[in-house]
Amino acid sequence: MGLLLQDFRYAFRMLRKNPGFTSIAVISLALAIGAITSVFSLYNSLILKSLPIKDPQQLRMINWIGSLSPPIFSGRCTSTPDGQQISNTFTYPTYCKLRDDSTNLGNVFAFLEHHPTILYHDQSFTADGFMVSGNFFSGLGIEAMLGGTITPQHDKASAGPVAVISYSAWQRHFNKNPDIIGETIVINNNSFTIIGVMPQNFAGLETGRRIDFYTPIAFQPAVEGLCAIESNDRWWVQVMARIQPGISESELQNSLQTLLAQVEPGASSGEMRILLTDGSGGLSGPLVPTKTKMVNSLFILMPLAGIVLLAACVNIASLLLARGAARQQEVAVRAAIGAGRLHLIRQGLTESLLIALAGTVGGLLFAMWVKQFLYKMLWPSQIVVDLSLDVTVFEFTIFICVGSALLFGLLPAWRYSRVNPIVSLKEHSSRALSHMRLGRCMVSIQTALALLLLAGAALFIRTLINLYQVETGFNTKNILVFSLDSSKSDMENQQKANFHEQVRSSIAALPGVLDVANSNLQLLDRGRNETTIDLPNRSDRHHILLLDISNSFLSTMGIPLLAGRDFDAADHPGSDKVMIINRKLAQSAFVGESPIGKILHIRGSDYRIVGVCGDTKYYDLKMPMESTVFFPCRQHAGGGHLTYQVHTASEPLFLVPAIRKILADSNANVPMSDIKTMTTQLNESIANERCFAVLAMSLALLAVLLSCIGLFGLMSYYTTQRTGEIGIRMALGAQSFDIGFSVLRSAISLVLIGTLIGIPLVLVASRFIKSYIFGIEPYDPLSIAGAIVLLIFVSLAAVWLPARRAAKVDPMEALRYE
Amino acid sequence: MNKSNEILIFVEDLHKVFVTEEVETHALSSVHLKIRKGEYVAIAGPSGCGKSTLLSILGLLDSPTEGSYQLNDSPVADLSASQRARIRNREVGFIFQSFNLIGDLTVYENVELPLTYQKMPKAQRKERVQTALEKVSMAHRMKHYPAQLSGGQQQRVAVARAIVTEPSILLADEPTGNLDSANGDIVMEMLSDLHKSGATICMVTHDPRYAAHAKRTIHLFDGRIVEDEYTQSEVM
Repeated sequence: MGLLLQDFRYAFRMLRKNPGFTSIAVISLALAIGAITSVFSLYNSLILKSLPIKDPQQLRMINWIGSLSPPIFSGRCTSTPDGQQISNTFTYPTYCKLRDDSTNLGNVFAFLEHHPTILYHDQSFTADGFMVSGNFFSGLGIEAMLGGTITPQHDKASAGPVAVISYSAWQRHFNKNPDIIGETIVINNNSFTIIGVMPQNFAGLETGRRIDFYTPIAFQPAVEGLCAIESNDRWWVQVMARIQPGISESELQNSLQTLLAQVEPGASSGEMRILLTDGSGGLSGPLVPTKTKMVNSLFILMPLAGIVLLAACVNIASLLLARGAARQQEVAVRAAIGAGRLHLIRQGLTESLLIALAGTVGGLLFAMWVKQFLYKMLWPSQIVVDLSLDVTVFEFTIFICVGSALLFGLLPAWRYSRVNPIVSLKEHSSRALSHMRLGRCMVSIQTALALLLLAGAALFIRTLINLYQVETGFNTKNILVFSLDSSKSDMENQQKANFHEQVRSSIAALPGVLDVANSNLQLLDRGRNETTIDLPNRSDRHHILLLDISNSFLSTMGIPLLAGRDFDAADHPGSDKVMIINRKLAQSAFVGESPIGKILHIRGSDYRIVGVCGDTKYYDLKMPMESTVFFPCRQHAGGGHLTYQVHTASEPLFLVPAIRKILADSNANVPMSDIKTMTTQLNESIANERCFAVLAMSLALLAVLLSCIGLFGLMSYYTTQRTGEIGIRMALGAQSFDIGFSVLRSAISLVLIGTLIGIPLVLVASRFIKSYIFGIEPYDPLSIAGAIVLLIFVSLAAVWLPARRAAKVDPMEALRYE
Repeated sequence: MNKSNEILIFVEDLHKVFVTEEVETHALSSVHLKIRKGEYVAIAGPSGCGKSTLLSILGLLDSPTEGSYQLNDSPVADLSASQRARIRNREVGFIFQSFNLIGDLTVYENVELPLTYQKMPKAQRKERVQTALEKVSMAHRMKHYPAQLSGGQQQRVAVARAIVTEPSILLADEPTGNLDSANGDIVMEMLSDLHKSGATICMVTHDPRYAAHAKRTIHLFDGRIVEDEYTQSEVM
C-alpha cells in the first residue's frame, strides 16, 4: 500500500512537472469521457433508471397477448411478427376482478392515460393526465409532497371530485402557490378540488412524458365519456401490479391468467394470455414507441462518442510513448536498482490512472453541462427526462475511467518496462526510434478514427443540406401555426364548427394577416391519415394520404391550384361530397384525361373531384411526394381539434397576443397550443437530422483535434530527436526547405496511411447509418473525399510548426546537441 | 576490516558474444574469476576491453552467453528477468559514472527507492535511509533534488543509494569519471572507508591512480583477464 501511495505521489509530481502534456491528456480525455458519459446518462435516464418509488423492482405491467380482438378498444396495441396482438387495456370489471381476487399475491392498480383540457382562472390549456384507481398511489408506494393522494374513498362516482397535480404543474400553472390545496380547477368541464402535489422527482410512469393531473378513474364517464364504468364491452383500463415479497412472477401470472379466464372466454381457451413486463422503469417495451425512437437516436451517438474516446486514448498513448522514450534513463535506473517489470508497469499505469481520474472528473463536469444541451437538441419538444446523475452513471464513468487508463496506459507501460538498463544508461537513440515506430502507428490509427468520424459527419451534414433543399410544395415563410382543441368543450358539433369559422374570420380581419386556414392535421407534424382506394383501370389498391382542410387552405399555404376550383362556402355538409386531389394522384389515376368531375370511392363514400393542386410533403420531408386527397373540413363531422395556418405580412409570432384575445372573447375553454411558425415546424421535423449533423461534426472535429495534437506531438518529438542529424545534414549542404519538407513528407505519409486504414472503416460503418441519411448514398464519394482533403489540410497545419522549427535549426547548435 | 575466505562471486569460463547484423563481437572470452567477501577489486583495461560488460554481468544487468556464474553460492547465470531484478535489489549496489539519480525524486526518495521495492516498512526505511545518508555526509540535503546538488554530492547520494540495502557487493562503474579530482578523491575515500567497514567492492576504472585504492586489480584486454594483481596481501 505504501509503495502504491509512493507511486501515486511520484506520478502526481511527474504530471505536475509536465503541465503541457498533462493538460492535453486530461482535457482530451475529459472531452471524450464527457461526451460518452452524457450520451450514457441519457440512455440511463430513458432505459435503466427506475421510478423514484419504493422497491420499483416489484412492479409489473399487466398486458395481454393473443389472437382475439376486444369488441371496443382504446389503449396501446401492437402486433407481433406472428400476427398476435399485444395490448395493455382491460375492461373495468376485469380490472376489479384481478384486483380483488389476487390481494394475497400483489396489489393490482389501474389508470387511464388522457389529454384533458384544464381551465384555471380563465386560462385554459391542455395537459397529460392520468385517471387513476384509488389504490394507484399506494400501489406505487409514493406519497404527495403537499397534501394527500387519491385513495379508494375518492375513487367513487358519488365522492367529491378531487385531483392531484405534479410538482411541475404546480410550478408552471399555479406559481408554486403554497395554498393550492383546496383550489378548484376545471378538467374537461368538470370541477375538481386539488388535494395534493406530487414530489418533484415523480413525473409519471412513462419516460419522456410528464403527467400533470391525476383524477379518480371513477369519473371517467364524466371526464372522458368513453363508456359506463362497468361496461364489459370497452377495454380501456391499463393495469399494473406490485408483487408481494416472496411471490414469484410466475405465481402472479398463473393466478391472473386463472382470474382472466373466469371473465374472458378467450383466456380459458388459450387465445388470450396474461403477459407481465417489467414495470420498474414505468411504461416500456413494444407498447411505448416514443421511448424506442428516443433510444434509437442514442444508438447512433453512443458509437460516435465511443470512437472519440478511442481516439483520445490513442492520442494519450502516443504522447505517453513519446514521454516514455524521454524517460528511459530514469526507468533504467529503477531497473538497475531492482525494480521488477511489474513494478515498472505499475508505475506507468499509476500515471495513466491519475490522468484518467482527472479526465473523468473533468468529463463528469462536462457531461453535466453537455447532457442538457444534448437533450434539448435531440428532443426539442416537451419530452420530460430525469437527467440527474445517479449511481449507475457513476459506475459507468468509473468503468470508463479504468478502461481508458488500461487502454492508453498498458502499451506505453509495457514498453516502459522493457527497458534494457545497460543500453539505456549509456545511450537511448535506438530505443527512442522504437518508441517512434509505435507512436507513428498510433498517429495513423488516430487519423483513421478521425476520418471515420469526419466522413460520418459529412454524410449527416449533406443529409441536412438535402433536407433543407427539399421542395415542400408549400410556403413555409411568414406562416403562423397553432392548434385549437374544442373537443373537450361543452359545445355541440355544429357549435364547434361555427366557433372555428368565427375564429378564422376574426383572425383574417386582423391587420397584417394575408390569409388564414385550418386543417385537421398540421403538415410536417408527423401525424397522418391514410387509406387505400381502388383506382379506375388499376387492379391494385392505391395508397393515399387524407387531409381535411378549410377553404383558402391552398392559398394560405401557397399550394398552387392546377385545375378546377378551391373549396368554397357552397361545400357544406348538405351538399355533394367533393375533394381536391394532388397532381401525383391525378397522374396515377387519370392518365391522359382530366380528373375534374370524376368520382372516387373513399372509405365508403363517393367524392367528386373539383380541383387538382400541386404536390406537397405531408408528414415527413424524407418521404417522396405521395398521392393526397383534400376534403373540405365542413363536410366532415370533425371540428373538435383543428390546426390553424395564418399567412402574415411580417413576423408571424407578433400576432399571437391578438389571436389569444380573439379566443378569450370567443370561448375561454378552448386551449390554444403548439404555437410556432411553419419554419420552426419544418426545423422540428428535421431536428434529429440536424442534431446528428451538429453532434457528429462536433465529435469529428474533436477527433481531428486529437489527431492533430498526436501528430504535432510526434513530429515535435521526432524533430527534437533528429536535431543532431539535421545539423549534420545542414552542415553537408541541405537547405532549410529540404529539412522542413522532409518533416512534412513524413507527417503526410502517416496521414495517408491512416486514410488508407480509415476508408474501409468508413465503408463498413456507413452501412449502419443508412437509414439516417437522405438524398445520398452511404458510400458518397464526395463526403469521403471532402473528409480526406480536410484531414490532410488540418494535419499539414498541425505539423507546420515542427517543420518550421526543424527548418530553422542552427547547424552549429545542432552539432553541439549531438 | 573483517576478512573472510568465503567466496562471494565465482565465475567460470564466462563468454559474452554480441551479435549485430551477422557480426559477432566477443566482448568476454573464457573469463575465470573469484571474488571473496570483503575484497576491494578494481577492473582495469583499455577502452572496449570488456570491463563494463563484465561488471554488467556481475551485477546481473546482463547474462553471459556461456559459462557459469555463482553469487553467494547460488547459480545466477540463467535466472529470469524478475529473479535477477530481485537479486539485484538485495545483493548488489550500483554506482554509475553519471550518478543516474532520478531527477524528479528528492535525495531521500532516491535513496529510499531500492527499499520500497523490497516492500520494507516505512519506519525501517526511514532509519536505513538516514543511516546511509549520514555515512556519506548528505543527511542535511535529504529534501533537495539532484539538480540542486554538485556532481560530487550527487555521487555521494548515489553511493548512499547503493549501500542502503546493505548489499553483498558494491559495483562501481568509473565512479569518478564525471567528477573533478577533488570530488573524485572524496568518493574514492568513501569507497575505501566502506571497504574498511566490511563492504565488498568491485570497481571499473581506467585510471591507475584510482585503481591503486583497490587491494586487487584485474587487467582485461580483448575480453580476457591478462593479469590479476594483488597490491597488498590478500588471501586467494
